[in-house]
Amino acid sequence: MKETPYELFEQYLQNTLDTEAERAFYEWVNASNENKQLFFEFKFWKEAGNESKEIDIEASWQRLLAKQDPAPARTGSFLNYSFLKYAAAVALVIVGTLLYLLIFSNKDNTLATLYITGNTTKADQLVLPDGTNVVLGPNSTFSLAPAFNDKQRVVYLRGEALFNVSQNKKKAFIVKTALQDIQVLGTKFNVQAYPNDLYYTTTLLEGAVSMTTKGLREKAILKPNQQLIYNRKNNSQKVQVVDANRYASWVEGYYYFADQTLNEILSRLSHIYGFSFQIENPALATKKFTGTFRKEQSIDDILAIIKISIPITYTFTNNNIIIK
Amino acid sequence: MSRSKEIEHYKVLYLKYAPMLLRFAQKFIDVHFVEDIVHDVFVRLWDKQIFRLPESEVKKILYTAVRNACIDHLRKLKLAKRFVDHHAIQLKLDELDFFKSSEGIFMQHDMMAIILKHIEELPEKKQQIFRMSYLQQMKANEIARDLNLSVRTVENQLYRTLLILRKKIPMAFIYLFVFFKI
Repeated sequence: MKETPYELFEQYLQNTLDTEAERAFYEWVNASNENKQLFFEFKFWKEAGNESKEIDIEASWQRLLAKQDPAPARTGSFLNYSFLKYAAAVALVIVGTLLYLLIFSNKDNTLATLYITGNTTKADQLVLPDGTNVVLGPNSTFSLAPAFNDKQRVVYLRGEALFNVSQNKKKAFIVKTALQDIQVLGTKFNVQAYPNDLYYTTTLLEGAVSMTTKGLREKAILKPNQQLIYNRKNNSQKVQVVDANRYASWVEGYYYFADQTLNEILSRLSHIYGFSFQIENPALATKKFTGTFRKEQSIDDILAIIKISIPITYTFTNNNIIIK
Repeated sequence: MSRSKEIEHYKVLYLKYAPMLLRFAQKFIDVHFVEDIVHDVFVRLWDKQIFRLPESEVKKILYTAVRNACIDHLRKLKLAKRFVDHHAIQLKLDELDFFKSSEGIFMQHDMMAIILKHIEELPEKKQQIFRMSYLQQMKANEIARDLNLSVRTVENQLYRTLLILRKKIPMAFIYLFVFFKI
């Protein structure tokens, strides 16, 4: 690419690139030091422009002071190095969860909080201001709309999350995914809506939800143990009855696949383990499999287990798996 | 300077430089961890008497230390998980490279040898305290306990050592903080 791809830069920094575009971005950026420099300069000016938010440095200083032990050491030294235990805790958090907490400004210039989970097999739990409990799945992006809990409770989700919404009949709780709005009034449900996936799935455990999908006129209303599966390609949806608890089992560490095609399974696993994949034999892609995997299992183990039922051979290169 | 005056001085420096350092670190590390990294650097430099040096040098040293801390943090992330986003982390490490200090700090083995040679030429007591602080990463109160000195003495000795090294290797003085991972 001879021209500087400013579009790609912009989207990369906002984390809105899909896998293909991201690959193109890295290819361009890593092609030469000059390219890298162009990107870093772009990033520098972009970030300089964003530096309008004030850091409360007085509070930050207080936090630094607070890291010292209240009781001074016997030598009378000001610093007691108990900060080390905080440093260790930070290191553990880094290795364990890779939960990113970013503060960003939206168009109204109010600060909103954006939660992004990384490629980890641990789920991350949040409690929202209204008491709603949210467990975030891997590779998911979640944020609250600025006026959350004023008249409505609006949240945005790309990826997967399990919601336990606190009852409030006056303030509707609405989950907005790329293509659907899910309105609830006090209920427990699981949403699976990774932007590039073929299927978006909403599973209801308790309460009731009403779902509006872009491009579909009918609203769908779900009752407990009902599941709505939306097919992004066909723009069609269907409701089926399931054992809803099994679709929320991931928060406890079990991934459940009920009679799903190899393609669907790998798609799900790719979010959890952070790899990309190709199935070279189209006949294999539609083969079905039912099973439950524990979170701690490595992708190698899981593929070995699948291999017992579906005759696959697989090779890893970097973060990519090729299935034959 | 009394203890409370020291803390005041320390606070003034913190209020002045921490915002810039926090914003700098935030380019590579997400905001959740940035404060701990910067706090950690301040505490360590405080213990090594860096803040008693002229402010223009303190600024450069702070910047170097935070940059090194970011590099360490990213390297740890890289090791953390098999399927972590290596491309993104590597790009951040490359970017940190791009942000070498305006003087163009780069590791050179002969620089290290020169610095070590000057350390060996220090008077015995000063050399010992310097090694314990910079090479063995001991805290001032630990050194004081081991050598049966007051913390104040250890601190003053460290400070005077810094002044000597600054005089002997003015150009390379900053490399001290690149090599010894402050």
